[in-house]
Amino acid sequence: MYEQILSMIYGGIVYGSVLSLISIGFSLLYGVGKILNLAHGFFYVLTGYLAFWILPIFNYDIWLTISVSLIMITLIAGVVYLALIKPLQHSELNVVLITFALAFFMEQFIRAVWGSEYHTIYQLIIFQGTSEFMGISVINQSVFLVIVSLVLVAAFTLFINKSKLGRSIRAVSQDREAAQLMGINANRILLYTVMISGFLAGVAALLYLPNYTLDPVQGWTRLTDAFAVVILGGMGSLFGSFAGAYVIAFANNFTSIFIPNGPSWSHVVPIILILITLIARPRGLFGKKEIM
Amino acid sequence: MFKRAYEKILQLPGYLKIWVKSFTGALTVVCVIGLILLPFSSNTPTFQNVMLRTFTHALIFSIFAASWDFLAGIAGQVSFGHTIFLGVAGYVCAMLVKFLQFPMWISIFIGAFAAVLFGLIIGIPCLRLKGPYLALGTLAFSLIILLILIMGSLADYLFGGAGIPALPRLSNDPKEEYLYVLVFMVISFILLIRISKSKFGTILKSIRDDDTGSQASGINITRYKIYAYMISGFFAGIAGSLYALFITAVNPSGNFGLINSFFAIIMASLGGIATISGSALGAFFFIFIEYVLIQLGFGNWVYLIFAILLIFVVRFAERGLLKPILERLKDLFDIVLGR
Repeated sequence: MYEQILSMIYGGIVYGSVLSLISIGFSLLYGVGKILNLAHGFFYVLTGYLAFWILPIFNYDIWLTISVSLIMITLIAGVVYLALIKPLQHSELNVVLITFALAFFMEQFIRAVWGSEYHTIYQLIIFQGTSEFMGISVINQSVFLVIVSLVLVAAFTLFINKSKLGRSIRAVSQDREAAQLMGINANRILLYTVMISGFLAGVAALLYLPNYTLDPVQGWTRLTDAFAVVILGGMGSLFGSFAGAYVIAFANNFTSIFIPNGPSWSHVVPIILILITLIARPRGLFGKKEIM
Repeated sequence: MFKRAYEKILQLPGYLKIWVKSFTGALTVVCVIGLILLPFSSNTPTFQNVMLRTFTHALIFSIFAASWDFLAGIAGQVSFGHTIFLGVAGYVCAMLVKFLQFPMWISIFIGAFAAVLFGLIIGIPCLRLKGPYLALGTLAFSLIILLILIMGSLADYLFGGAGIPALPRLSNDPKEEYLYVLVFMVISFILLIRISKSKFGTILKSIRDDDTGSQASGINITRYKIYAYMISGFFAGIAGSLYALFITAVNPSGNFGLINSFFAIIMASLGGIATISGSALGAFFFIFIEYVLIQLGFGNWVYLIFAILLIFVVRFAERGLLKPILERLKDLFDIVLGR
C-alpha cells in the first residue's frame, strides 16, 4: 500500500511535468491569439518521430539530435502559423478546421512515412538506469525530466513577466488593438508564441518518449489531456495550466493504480474531470471570467 | 388548421411547376432522376457489385455529411465528434437486429432515436462551450467513447474491439439496397432543407450569427441549440444505422473512429458549408476520388491526400469547391433560357 501510494505520487509528478510543458504552450496560444491549435498534440508526437529519423543520420549523437529536432519542430510551428493560421485568423471556426485538418495530415503523414508499428528512441536516454528512492525504483531520465520541466516553467514565467518580449505577449493577450497602437507587431508576437509552444511540446517529447514507444495516436490523447488541463485550470492562465496538469496526472495515476482494470480507465478520467468542471465552474479553477 | 393544410396541398402542383423551372429545381430533378436510373444503366457484375456499392456508400455518407452541415453550418455548433451519432445508432441497430431479431426498418429508426438521446446527453454539457471549445469538447467526447469501447475489461458488455460481426444486409440485391438507401437520402435531404428554410431554421441561423442578439430578442438559445443537436443526431443516426447494415458489421474503430468525423467535415467543406445540398455533391465527389485513387494504386495514401485537400479547401476556398462552380452553371442556365 505504502509503495503503491509512493509510486502513484512519483508517476503523477512525472506525467504532470510532461503535461504542464505541453499544456502551457497550448493555453498561452489561446490566451494570446484566441487560436486553438488542435495540432498541438502532433507537435509533441512529430518531435519524437523527427528524432527517430535524425538519430541514425547523426550517428546516434544525443545532443546533436536533440538540438536539431528541437530547432526543426520550432521552425515547423512557425511555418504552420505563417502559412495556415495567420491568413485565417479572423475566423475562429476556420482556425479550428485548419488545425484539425493539419492534425489529421500529420497523423497520416506519420503513418505513411514511418508506418503504424511502434518505434522506440531509447538511444536518446540521457541518464541511463534507475535508482532507489524511499523504497521505490525511479527512472533517472524521469527525474531529469521533472527537473527540466520545473526549471523551464520557472524560466518561462520569468520570461513572460520580466522580459520585453514577454511583456509584449501579455499586452497582446490583454488587448490586441491597444497593443498594436502602442507599436507592437501582434502577428510577430503570435508567431513567437506558436514557436514557443512548439518548442515546449518538443522538449516534453524528447525527454519523455525515450522511455516509452512512439505511436501516432498519442497526438490525439495528449491533445485531450491538454484540453482537460486547460479547461480545469482556466483558459489562458499559466498557473492554472501548471496546477491543472498535476491534478490531471495524479487523477490519471490514481485510477490506473487503485481502480480495478485501471490502466484502461485512466484515459477516461480527463473527460470526467472536464465534465465536472464544465458543470460546476465553467471558467476553470484559475480562469479569467470573460473568456468562457 | 386542416383548411390551411388543404389549401397548401392545392397550391403544391403550381408551386412545383415554378420550382422545376428554377435553376435549383431543375438541377435537383435532373440529379434525382439520374440517381434513380443509375442502377439500371449497366448489368455487368463489376458494376453491380463494386460500383453500385460505392455509390450506396456515397449516399449514406451524404446523409451523414448533411447532418453535420446542419449542425455546423446552420446552427453554428461545430462538432468534431459527429461520429458518435454514427456509432451509437450503428451499435443499437446492430444489437437489435442481431440479438433481438427486430425487423430492420424498425431498428434503423430505434438506432436513430438512440442517437437523438446521445445528442441530448452531449448537447447539455457542451452548451457551456462556444466555438473552438465546443469543437474540442466534442472531439474529446468521441475519443473517450472510442477508448471505452475498445477497453478489454468491458468487452462482455460492449463487445470489445471486435464489435458485432455478420449482420444481415439491407437487401442481397445491390440494386435494391441502393434504391432503399436512395429513398432514405432523398427524404432526409428534403426534411433537412425544409427545416433549415423554415422559421426554426431562421432562428438557428440567428443564433449562429449572434447569440447574444438573439437572446435579447427573446429566443431561448439553450433550447434551440439542444433541438439542433437532436435533429442533427437523428439524421446522423439514420446514416449510422444504414452504414452498419451496409458494411454488415460494427466495430469501435470503424464506427466511432475519428476518421468518420473527418469525412463529414471534408465532404461538407468540399460542397460548401451551410448549403445542405452541397454535402451530397461533396460526398459523391469525395467517394469518387477515393475510388479513383484506390484504383490507381494509391490506397495507402488516400487519407493523406484528403488531409492535404482539406487543408487547401479551408485555406484557399472558404466557400467550398462546388458552390462557385454551381453559380457559374446557373449563369449559363439563365443565358440558355434567355432570362
